[in-house]
This record gives sequence, C-alpha cells and structure tokens, in this order.
Amino acid sequence: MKHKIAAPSFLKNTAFMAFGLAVVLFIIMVIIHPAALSLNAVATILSIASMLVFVCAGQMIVITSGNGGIDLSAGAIMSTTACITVEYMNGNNAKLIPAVIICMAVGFLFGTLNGLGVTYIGIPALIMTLCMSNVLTKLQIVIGNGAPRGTVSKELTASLTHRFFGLIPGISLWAAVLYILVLLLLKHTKFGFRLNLIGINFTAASLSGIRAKQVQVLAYAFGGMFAGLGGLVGAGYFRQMQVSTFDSYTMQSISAVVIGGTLLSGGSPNYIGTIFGAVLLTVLSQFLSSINTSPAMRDIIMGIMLIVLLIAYNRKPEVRQ
Amino acid sequence: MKQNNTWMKFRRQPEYMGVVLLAVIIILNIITQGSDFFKASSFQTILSTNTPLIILTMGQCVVLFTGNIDISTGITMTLVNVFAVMMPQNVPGFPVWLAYVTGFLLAVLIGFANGILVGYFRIPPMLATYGMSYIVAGICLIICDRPQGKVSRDIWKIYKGNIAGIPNSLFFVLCLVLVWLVMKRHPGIKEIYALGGDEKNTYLTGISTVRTTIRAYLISGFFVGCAGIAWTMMLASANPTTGDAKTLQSIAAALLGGTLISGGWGSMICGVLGALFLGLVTNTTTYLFINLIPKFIPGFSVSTYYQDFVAQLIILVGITLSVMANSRVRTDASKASRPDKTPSGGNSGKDGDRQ
Repeated sequence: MKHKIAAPSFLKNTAFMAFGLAVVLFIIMVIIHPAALSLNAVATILSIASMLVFVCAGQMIVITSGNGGIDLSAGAIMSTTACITVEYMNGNNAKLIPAVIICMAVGFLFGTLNGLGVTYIGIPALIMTLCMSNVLTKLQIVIGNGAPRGTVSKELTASLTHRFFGLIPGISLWAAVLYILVLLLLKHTKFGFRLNLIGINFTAASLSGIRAKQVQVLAYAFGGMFAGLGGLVGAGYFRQMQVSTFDSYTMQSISAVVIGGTLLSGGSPNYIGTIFGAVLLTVLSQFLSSINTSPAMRDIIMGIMLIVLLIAYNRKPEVRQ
Repeated sequence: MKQNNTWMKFRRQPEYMGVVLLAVIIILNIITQGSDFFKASSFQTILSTNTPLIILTMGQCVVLFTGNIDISTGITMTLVNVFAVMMPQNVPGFPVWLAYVTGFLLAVLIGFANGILVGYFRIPPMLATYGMSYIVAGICLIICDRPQGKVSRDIWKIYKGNIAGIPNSLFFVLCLVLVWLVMKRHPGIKEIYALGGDEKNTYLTGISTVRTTIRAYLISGFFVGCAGIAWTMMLASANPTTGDAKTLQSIAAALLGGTLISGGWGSMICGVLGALFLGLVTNTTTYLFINLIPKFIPGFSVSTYYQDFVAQLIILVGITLSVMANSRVRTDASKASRPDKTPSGGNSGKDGDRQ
C-alpha cells in the first residue's frame, strides 16, 4: 500500500471539505473586512451561487454520463436562452410560462444535438460541445441582431430578487426546488440508475441490456435543458442581457462539479457537493474582490486554487493499477 | 490496379479527410472569389494571418497524439507576444533578442509545467491546462493590461516579406515541419504515438508514461513558443486578449485535419491542412455573401453576423465528416493489419517500409 496512514474520513468527503473551505474563506474575509458580515453580503453570495446551481445540475448530469462527457456549450446555451427570454418577454409577465417552456425546449434541443453528435457520430464531447457553443454564440447575435433589447417582466425579477427575512433571496428557493427535482431524477428514476451505470462502465451497461446510447443522448439533453432554465433565471436576475453574458459559467460549472467530488471519469454524481462547490467558488471570488486584488492576480489565484484542488481530489488512477 | 492500390493506401492515411476538405474549400474559394484568388497578395495575406494558427495546431497535435489535450496554448502564445514586446520597453537596456528568447523559453517552461501536472500528478489534462491558462492569463495582464507597444519595422518586415513570390511565413512553417520530420526519427516520438494508442500496453512495454507525457508537452511548448514569435510579428504589437481564442481553433483544426482526440493517430501535416481549412472557411463565407449570392439574387444582403454563423456551421460539418472518415479508416486498418502490426501508431505502415 502506498498510503500507509489512512486520512480521517471527513477529509475524504469532498462535499464537506468544499463547504468547510467556503466557511473558512468567509471567516477570513470577515476578519479582514468586518463590513462583509452583513445580511446583504451573504444574500449576494447566495444569489450568485444559486444561479450557478442551475447550470451545474446540467453539467453534473453530463459529466456523470462518462466517456469523457463534458458540456462546454452550457454557458452558451444559457446565454442563448437568456437572449430569447428578453426578446420574447419584453416586460410582459403573461408570457412567463411560454418563456419557461421555450427556454427548456431550446436547451433540450441543443443538448440533444450535442448528444447525437457525441454518441452516434462519435465526435469527442469536448469538440462537439465546443463547436456547438461557437454556433450558439453566433446564433445569439442573429437573434438579438447585435444586441438584444427587451427586458424580462418586473414580476419575474421581483420573485428572484425578493429577500425573505432579508437574507434568503427568492432565487435560492428556486434553486432548492431544483435540488429536490434533480435528486429525485438521479436517485428515484430509471434514468438516474441507468445514467450512473453507463457512467461507471459503458460497455457493461450496454451488455446488460441498457440502451446506453439513448441514455447518453438523454443525459446531454437534460444537461442542455437545465442550462436553458439557468439562462431564463439568469436573465430574470439581471433583467437585461448582452450577447454571451454567461459564457464564463461553462468553466465555473465544471470547476464546481469537480470541486464537489463528482468524478470526471463518470458515475457517482454528488449534487450536494456540487452546490457547495458553487458556494465555494462564489465566496472565493467575493473574497478576492474584497481584498482589492487586481483582476490579473485574481486569475492567478483562481488558477492555482483549481490546480491544488484537482491534485487533492481528482487524480486519475495510476497506470499500474 | 497499382493506381487503385495507391488510392486505397492514401485513403488509409490520417491526412485523407484533411486533404479532401482543403481541396473542397479551395475550389469553393475559387468559385466565390474568382480569379482574384490566384493573386500573390491574396496568398500572402492568407498565409501570414494564419501562420500562428498553423504552428499552434502543430503544437496541439503533439499533445493530441498522446491522447491528452492542452487548452493553455493560445494564452501561452499571448504570453510570448506580451513578453517579447513589453520587456524591452518597460525595462531599459533589455536587449530585444533576449526578450524573444526568454519569451520562447517561458512557453517551453509552461509546456513542461503542464506535462508535470498531467503526467506526474495525473490531473485530467483538460482541467490542469485550464487552470494553467488562468495563471498565464493573469501573468499576461500583469505585464500589459491593454493592447499597446510596437514591434520595430525591421522585424515584422521580414515576416511579411517574400522571396521570389513565396511568402516568408510559408518558409517558417516549412522549417518547423522539417524539424518535426527530423525529430520523428527519434524513438521518443514513437513512444508518444504508442502512449496515445494504448496507455497500459505502453507501460507494460517498459516505457515511462510519465516521461513520455512530459516530453510531448515540452515539444508542444517548443511549437507554441514559435507560434508566439510568429504571432508577435503578425500583430506587430502586444495584445493580451485576442490570442486565447486561438486555442479552441487549433483543437478544431487538428481534428479537421484528421488527428484523433483519443490519441495515437494523426500527423503534423494533418494539423497544417486543418488550420489552412479553418483559415480559408472565413475567407470563403465572406466572398460567398458579398460576391456570389448577390450575383444570382439581385439585392440580396444580410448582416455580417450570418457570415460567422455559416462559417461555424461549415466547421462543425467538416469536423463531423473528418471524425466519421477517421473512425471508419481506423476500424478498416485494424482489421487489415491485425496479423502483423498493431492498429495504433498513425504511420506504422511507413515505418515498416523503412526498417
């Protein structure tokens, strides 16, 4: 055995570690900047993390499907549906329900295209979703004719930004509902079981009679759908949109999923860990901006942190094993 | 019969789809652009703007052969650019040649660091190099926060000049291809192909997978450094932001040319072909919308946004075709060559001839 001293079990629980790190970072931030300990600051962290939770749900399902599955178009799908939302709603609350359906359908459609390309044609997921994100970015420009002009309805924004007890923003309640739905999907449906199986071993799963390719396409479709929903929520939160606003969410969602302990090799989704990963990322970026680091230093620190966390949690097995 | 054989052999090469795609896009280009395409100046422009991408794709290819990926190449190229331009201006008495050499060495160093992260620490390559790209982007912004600076005219004139109508940038690419062809004779490069073909078997043969991975990233760093110098001469200034987009283009180009992302299959020529295709697609769609369609449909005009959209769609279709052709070739090749040689290793046929 290489590791002679067994690490305490809580150190292996990545979800717990991510949450612990977030709390520690927050305490350090409060010590340096006592002003950070306000209801407002906590609520901001909660809202930004909640927005990330939507797209992370999709990303996690795609990564769980294994076979190098990754969705680099998540951010672009978010931006696209956000553009569609503002163009379509244009301040009219009666169009909320159709807008939700349209956003989810658009996300589902592009997710399905990703899935078809990856499974049936055999394009690597990385490249397929990357090209899709390029196509989608251009599509947003076509949809919004350069810059989308409309806004979402006041009621939607109010429901997302209203703070219950001055602390919990409405968007977090939306995220909590989503959390329950995703948990039900993963743990209590046939799709969830099959997804886990194909993630662990694609060949074995298909040999045991699962239509593995169809499940994988469905995983990408769900990934797109959650990203699409995330776009609507994001548009509602910010009210106005620009082209490719949410593109940075692609990599943030991947980081959050990895920090949360979902294996990149597939299988073993860990949604609660993913949520804590999203919180950790948000706290970290708030922390870095509170101590007045330049954007350049912030990039460097984010990069080093990502690499250190990867070394700690997501190393591949040795070839020898 | 013999000719048929050569054709079949060509079809089994990794370059097959790259050549076909490039031929198609050149024909399309000639149709849309007319005789202007054959002007020396148009060649000059296409080559000099695309040379950094071509060299970057060559670097990316080496990493792809091992089955890994490097998404920090574009930003590393930017670092070389920023360093080479800003250092002599910020630090008085810093010789210009030293700035170029140090920038180049920095690229090699970052390649080495990526190799350590992926090979020794066994982090998934995409995320390791993604983290690295954040760090490098930060360093770039510290050195130079906005596009500025100037490269002296003597230096960029060399790059944009030509000898007997052949652009100098083409010579640069050819030199690097030659370097690769010489390097390829070294057994270390065969190990790189082998690693991409089957990691476990490579390990069992007694090859150090860690060292081979690091070697691939080092060679990639060498090419990225060269790309950075070409990029600097093309821009003739320091720009900390635009280079990053080239990473993804270079990966797409490598795939278009016929390199497999799963490793062990492809060649440098693939990268060059793919990058040229990518460069020409934009050219074609521009002329398609400005020249050709208005000829048939008078008064036809759309916003330029559609051009980009169509260009991206063409690239997606090209990648689909290339991947389909390659997976078919690989299954054929492995069936045909199972008895005497292994299916992995793109040029196993050629090597067999030589020995």
